[in-house]
Amino acid sequence: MTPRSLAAYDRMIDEAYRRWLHTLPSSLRTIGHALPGTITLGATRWRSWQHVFPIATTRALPWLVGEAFPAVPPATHASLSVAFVLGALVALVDDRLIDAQADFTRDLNLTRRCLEAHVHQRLSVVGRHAEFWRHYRRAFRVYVAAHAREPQLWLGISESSGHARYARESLAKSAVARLSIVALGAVGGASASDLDRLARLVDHYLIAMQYADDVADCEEDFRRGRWTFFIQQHLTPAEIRRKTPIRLTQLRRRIDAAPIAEDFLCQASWHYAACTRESQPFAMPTLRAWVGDRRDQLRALAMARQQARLHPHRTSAAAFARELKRRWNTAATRVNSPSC
Amino acid sequence: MRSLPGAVAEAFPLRPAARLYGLGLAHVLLAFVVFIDDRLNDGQTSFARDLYLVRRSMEVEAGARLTELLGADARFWRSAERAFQQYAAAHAREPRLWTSATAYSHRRYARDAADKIAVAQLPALAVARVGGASAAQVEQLRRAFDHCLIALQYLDDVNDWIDDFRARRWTYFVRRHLHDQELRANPPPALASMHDRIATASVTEEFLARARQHLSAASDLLATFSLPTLSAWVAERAAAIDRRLCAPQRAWRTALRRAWTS
Repeated sequence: MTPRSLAAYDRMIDEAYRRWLHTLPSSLRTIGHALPGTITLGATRWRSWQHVFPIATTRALPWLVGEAFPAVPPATHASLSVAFVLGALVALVDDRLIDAQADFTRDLNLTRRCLEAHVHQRLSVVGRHAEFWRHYRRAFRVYVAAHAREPQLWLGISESSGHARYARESLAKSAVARLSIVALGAVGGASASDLDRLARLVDHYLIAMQYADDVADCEEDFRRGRWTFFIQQHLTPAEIRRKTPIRLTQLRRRIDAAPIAEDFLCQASWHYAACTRESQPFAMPTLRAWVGDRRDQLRALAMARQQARLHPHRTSAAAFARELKRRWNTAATRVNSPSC
Repeated sequence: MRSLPGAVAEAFPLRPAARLYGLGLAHVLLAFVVFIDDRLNDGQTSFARDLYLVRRSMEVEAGARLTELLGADARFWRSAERAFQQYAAAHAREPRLWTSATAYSHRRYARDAADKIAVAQLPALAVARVGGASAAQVEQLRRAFDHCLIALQYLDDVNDWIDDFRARRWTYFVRRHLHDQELRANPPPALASMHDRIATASVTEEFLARARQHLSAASDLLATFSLPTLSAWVAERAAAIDRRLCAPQRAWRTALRRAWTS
């Protein structure tokens, strides 16, 4: 994907959203405009999907995967790409509502309802493809189950027993996002086993993102009371159950001293590697190049972090988080380079 | 109404029958999702994680069943999206109507009533589409269903006005018995006063007559199809309204005869 084609892609998904906003009843249009900005807790008014999903590879995932399915008509490809960002938006709105980070209101509910109908209309190009609908049902089943379990995990009522479970939970919550990718494969004539492989490819990509995100955003998660698996790893059972209070400064000190952040970065790197492996039978050069780059970056970061931990006078947790974000953003823009 | 897809299949049979059962489930799930949404939107039910997740599961299953059967029928899916937008627009207008004394008419009432429930018709229309109905026939059926739903809304508003009044849901029927100031008054007029107003006004008869008109229109539209169950259901409702409309006149005639002969 060249910078020019990425820019054209961004224009296309932005324009499609603007057009959709105009089909909304006027009273809901304001919410539609504010929604994508609001859910990222940044700008209050949406201007472009680039601000909602700053990592180009993430928002252009259907485009990158689509390189392997040239038989898909461009209009269908574009339609499913829009369904991808809108589907992710529906999932984010649901997340915010379910976790009580956004208030349930009539207009928000109605706007979300229209958005959902629009996504479904775009996914309907798949037609009667039985394999796709099997994926569709399974994705929502695990998504609903994971959300239903979530409060118990946060409160420490249900023990989070290791990385396997964490990967499963984070995967379940983002399972809906992979539907457009699987739809693309289904329309492109992929076999049932190829569809499974595509689904696994996206799963590994999303789990890797989740690992890296949890490390990078741990302070923000802590302040909001979202005690992710990464944070829980640094707490005692009593603290997880909120029986013993803990301050952010204490958490920072523990993160500085423990090897858990390195472990998480290595896990993310491993999932990017798995993503590259799953992409082998497909002709997806851009995606493979980017994912391979991320895999190496995160491994290098983990090693740098280990050095920092063993020599605490050289750096601090805050400096490390800044460095992680800087590298993360650098990698996000790297996809723009002609070499990709 | 819960067996609407089955009633439509009398004219547009689906083979094998399992396909019809699939759409039958989609029909009740969608209708239930609309019902939950109504409650949530009107604040009659509190938002809760588990309720929301159950609702999500229902809408997903209904959508999957519809698409598995219909496939990529672009025209149908465009009309489905339009139905959802009309549904959202009708719901978005609703609170303003409850709290303001803006002029309202039977025409707007009918449009809002049809829009609020249009989504629930989708599986029944899908049965017709898959069963071989042309686009014009599907449109004719849609209009017939709209008339049925509007008639039911009129009847509901007349029958359930006490519940609506207590919950301060100022439906068109209730509003017709209130002055503009009373719409925003706190506390609202007493229930006994409303009983008196409704007994002395002719709004009930007007609403029943409107419901009857819509059922007649539905009956005319359905006449070109071989839909015995649905046609019988419409005729039965129409006859019940006729009896109700004639009851006061009959009571008045009986009273007059008794007075004359005594």
